[in-house]
Amino acid sequence: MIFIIVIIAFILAWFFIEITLFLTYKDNNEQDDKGKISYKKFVWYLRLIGFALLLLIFLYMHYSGNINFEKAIQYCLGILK
Amino acid sequence: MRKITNENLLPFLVILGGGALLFISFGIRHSFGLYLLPISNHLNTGREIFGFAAALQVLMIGIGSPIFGGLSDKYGSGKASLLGIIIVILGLAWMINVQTSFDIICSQALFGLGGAGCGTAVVMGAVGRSVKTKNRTLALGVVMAGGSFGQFVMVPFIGYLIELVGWSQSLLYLCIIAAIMIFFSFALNFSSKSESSKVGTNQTLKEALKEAFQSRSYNFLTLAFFVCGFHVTFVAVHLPAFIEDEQLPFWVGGWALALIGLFNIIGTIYFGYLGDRLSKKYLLTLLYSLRGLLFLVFIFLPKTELTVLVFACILGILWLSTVPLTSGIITVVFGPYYMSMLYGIAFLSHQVGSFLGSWLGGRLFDIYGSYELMWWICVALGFIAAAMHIPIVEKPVQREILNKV
Repeated sequence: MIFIIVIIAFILAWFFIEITLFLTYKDNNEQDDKGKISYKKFVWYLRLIGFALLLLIFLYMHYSGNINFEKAIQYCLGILK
Repeated sequence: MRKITNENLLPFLVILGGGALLFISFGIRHSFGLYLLPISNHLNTGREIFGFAAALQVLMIGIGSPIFGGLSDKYGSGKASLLGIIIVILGLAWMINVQTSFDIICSQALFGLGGAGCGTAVVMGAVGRSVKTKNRTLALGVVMAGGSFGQFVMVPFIGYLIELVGWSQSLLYLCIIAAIMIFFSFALNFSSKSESSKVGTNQTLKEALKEAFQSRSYNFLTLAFFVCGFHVTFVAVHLPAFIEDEQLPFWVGGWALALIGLFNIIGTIYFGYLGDRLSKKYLLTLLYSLRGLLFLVFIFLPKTELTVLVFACILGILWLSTVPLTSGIITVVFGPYYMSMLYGIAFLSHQVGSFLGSWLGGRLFDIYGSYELMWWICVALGFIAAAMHIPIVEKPVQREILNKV
């Protein structure tokens, strides 16, 4: 159940990213994009990073348990307890 | 096969070196929370002394940023970051042998000062000078994402290290890890050899400062960056407690912070990409407006597992995405020559906001018994910061000698 809620939240947020990137691509004059990373390439890189990070967190969660995980994340964000 | 030229290779080396530098320095800096209990127990002082030392460290990073930024602009990013790394190692070495409260406070302050030398101001300046305008904001976003990723990978690793060898011994290993940064600092030297950096200005440091402070755009940008620090630190410090107050299950707090961290990495790259295609000032206006709107919706929304996690994901996208856009505007307006110092001053404002966000959140909670007023302050500040970006003129300042990079 926890994983399903997390995945739904992830997909909803990712939807925001995909839509805004697509609209930017549509509105942008491709002539101006010479020498810049292409939209398709960038989107696939971003998807790959997003998926890899989500997988990493799921794995960490699975092997380390909730308590350690929460502590680690809090430390990561610079929260002193 | 594509020919690798200096034009491509040098910016790549600077991005790689800068990303690695931020990866390690952010990782070490954010791991200090792990030393709170062992060092406080060792000194038998309670948590206040360490808490004060850590707060001083954060403030020193802010104070040190314009200083190291100026050194970087004058003597080169590689030399400035090398000095920063040496100070970081000295701070860590002092921490290994702490015996009194004075030791811990001074060692953390020293570490904070050094941390500014291998932090965002110096690295962003080097990257801004090295890459061409067309991919500059994306490059700044990628380097910043390197720092965010460092927090995620290194902090749990250092946690295990403390468990394995003890806090004192682990600090010795941190000195060695910090020393690795020296190799990457050499890569920042290439920033002065890139084509973009050669197009500069004959301005003195004093003239550059005078010009920046007389510019309405720079003042608005610096003030708005205060709001970024205020939002980010308030949410990071107080969100888990807020979720607990709302009677949500235990796991929601951890996952909320994890998703903020995940989307923070994605968000910095995403806004970096957009910053090369759209107006950076309007993107910042959108970003701060979305933050204000998000906080507003969050106040009225019923707090369920899903709403909190969606809030966390969206907030993660907007988390540190301000950094590549803010530093990008500074480069566009004033050129890359004094970018480190000018970004360092803006970053000082960010750190003051961070301090206030953390402190005021706790203070208002103690007075009113809820975070509601603080959420409303966040909403208001979000929209004020958004409005501040509208009058910014995102064009190079009228100066005869500054050519378009």
